[in-house]
Amino acid sequence: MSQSDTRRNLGLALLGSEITIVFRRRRNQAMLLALAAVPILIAVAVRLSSNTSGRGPAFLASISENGLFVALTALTVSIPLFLPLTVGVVAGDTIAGEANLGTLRYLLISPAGRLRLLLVKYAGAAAFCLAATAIVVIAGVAIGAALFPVRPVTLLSGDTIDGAEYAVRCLLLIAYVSMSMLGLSAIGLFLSTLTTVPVGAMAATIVLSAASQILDVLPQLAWLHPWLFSHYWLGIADLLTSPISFDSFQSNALLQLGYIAVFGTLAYGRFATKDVLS
Amino acid sequence: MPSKWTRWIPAALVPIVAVAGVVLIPIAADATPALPEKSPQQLLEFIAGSADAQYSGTVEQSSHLGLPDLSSLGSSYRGGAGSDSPVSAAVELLTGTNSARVFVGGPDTARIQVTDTLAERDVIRNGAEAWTYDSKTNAVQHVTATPGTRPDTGATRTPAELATQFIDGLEPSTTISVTETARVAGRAVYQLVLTPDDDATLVGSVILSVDSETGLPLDVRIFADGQSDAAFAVGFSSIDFSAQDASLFNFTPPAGATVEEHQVDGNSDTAPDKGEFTKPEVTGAGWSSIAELPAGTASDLGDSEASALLDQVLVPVTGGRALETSLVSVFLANDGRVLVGAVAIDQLQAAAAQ
Repeated sequence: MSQSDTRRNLGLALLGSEITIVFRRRRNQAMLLALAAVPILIAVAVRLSSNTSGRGPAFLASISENGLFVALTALTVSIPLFLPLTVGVVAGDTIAGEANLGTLRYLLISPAGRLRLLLVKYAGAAAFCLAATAIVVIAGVAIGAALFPVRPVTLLSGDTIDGAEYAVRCLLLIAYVSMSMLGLSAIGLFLSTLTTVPVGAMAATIVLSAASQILDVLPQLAWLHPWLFSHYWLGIADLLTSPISFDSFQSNALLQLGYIAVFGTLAYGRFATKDVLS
Repeated sequence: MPSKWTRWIPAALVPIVAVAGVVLIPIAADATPALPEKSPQQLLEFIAGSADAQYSGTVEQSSHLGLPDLSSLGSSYRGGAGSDSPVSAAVELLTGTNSARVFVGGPDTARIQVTDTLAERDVIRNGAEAWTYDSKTNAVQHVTATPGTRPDTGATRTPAELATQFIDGLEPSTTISVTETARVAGRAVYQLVLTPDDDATLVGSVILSVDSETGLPLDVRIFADGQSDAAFAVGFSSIDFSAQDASLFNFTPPAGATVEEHQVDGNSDTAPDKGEFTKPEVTGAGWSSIAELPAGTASDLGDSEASALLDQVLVPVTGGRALETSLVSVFLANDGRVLVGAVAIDQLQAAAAQ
């Protein structure tokens, strides 16, 4: 076996163990449970209250009519805060967490190489993004179906879709929202290479996500908006109209790719030149 | 092993490549495509011949009227209950940017989707039927027109006749010309320029961009006198000229929606619930016409949200209160009359005094 094959196999083994570690970690499991609690809280609150005034997050008013809207409400509530919070924790922990535990140098002793280690760490964070989004949607669909009548879903454009189409749209929503978090994960990865204190990287990532969303609502900075990684986070409306539009999906993919490229290479520059002492 | 600084090369290159891509790709498209020349008359005939085109696209509308941004006042919490008063709808149109998806399947089928954050308003026209749907309120309005005997004035005329009529209507007060070609929504367009000969008006010029293949107007921009940015612009940011699926225009109200039915008599010109609407009195001619609404109009605008909005934009002037934008002025006289025109406020005051 050539040396590069060995390295590749080592990388794959590393990826497998990294994903296991991410999902075995108690803290991450607790965060996923907390995310699952978002739709459950919303559904129970709506079920217990009879107050149906029109104010509140999008889709809230439709829940009592149709349980399938719980997932959509939960997703719109989670996107600005809960998802970036959990993703920030996982992404900020990637390198700094290992450094803090003193395990980073042992990882670097293995011949996989620093670039491969960085890629594996990023893939672990990306897998968490996907799981976090999926759990919100799946828990939402389940609790909605349990507590409320299930009917064909009315889209934003007033057209009605059946169960199969609803499932397709839910999968697209999961893909869209987890993709939206990839840029933030790349920023977290880079910040994580800068420090050996994981809490610092986590906090900085979460603060950046809040800052980006605040900048996004200031009309004076309209020129900056298309460049902010959070700009398309609430673009899920495009997937909830008929005919379905992929404009946001495309722009968002391009933007997130840009952030991954910029912060991924920055993370590589930093990590590959860093003296690892712990 | 390469020296340490080389590891930073990718991090330095990526932003450069990204910025270069964003900046250079639009430049690479030819900004003034070469097209066979057309006179204004030919161009107008071309436009009139595009009436039965089928297309879909995204329309962007923006206003730079020099008004303060009132969007935070005009609409309540995003995604929550919408505000439906006509004043806040007007504010939404006059400040900031709006976008809509448009689907046109021929001269009498169309669907317009005005998109907000996690909300949408739809207008669907299918022959004699029309629907509106608002996702925030889940409310449907259904308008049916009874088959009328009113002659359809537009359809029986040839494009050439329409073009001549349009030019005859504008010619006394306007210079019509065709300027250099441009690109709108990635398509080569002719640009028709209407320049008012009248010095009194605030309107500097109106530019209409016409698709060079289909004759469809893709973009209208209204420039205020002496401004380089359009004061009001509405146009396609993307367009696709393919046949539209007929099912798009068949609307069935969703379960649970409130449906309001309206009947419109095909023979009459008046809209159903606009009975008490008074026609404005128009003075002046051409671009500097002034419309005068009789006393009482201002108080009809009514609700507290609307008056809060008005208080934000109106400034006190001699004889009343006024709103001056770069394009249009509004004068609310103390006696309750409202004067509107594309002229400066002093001319509205003068007209009010007469």
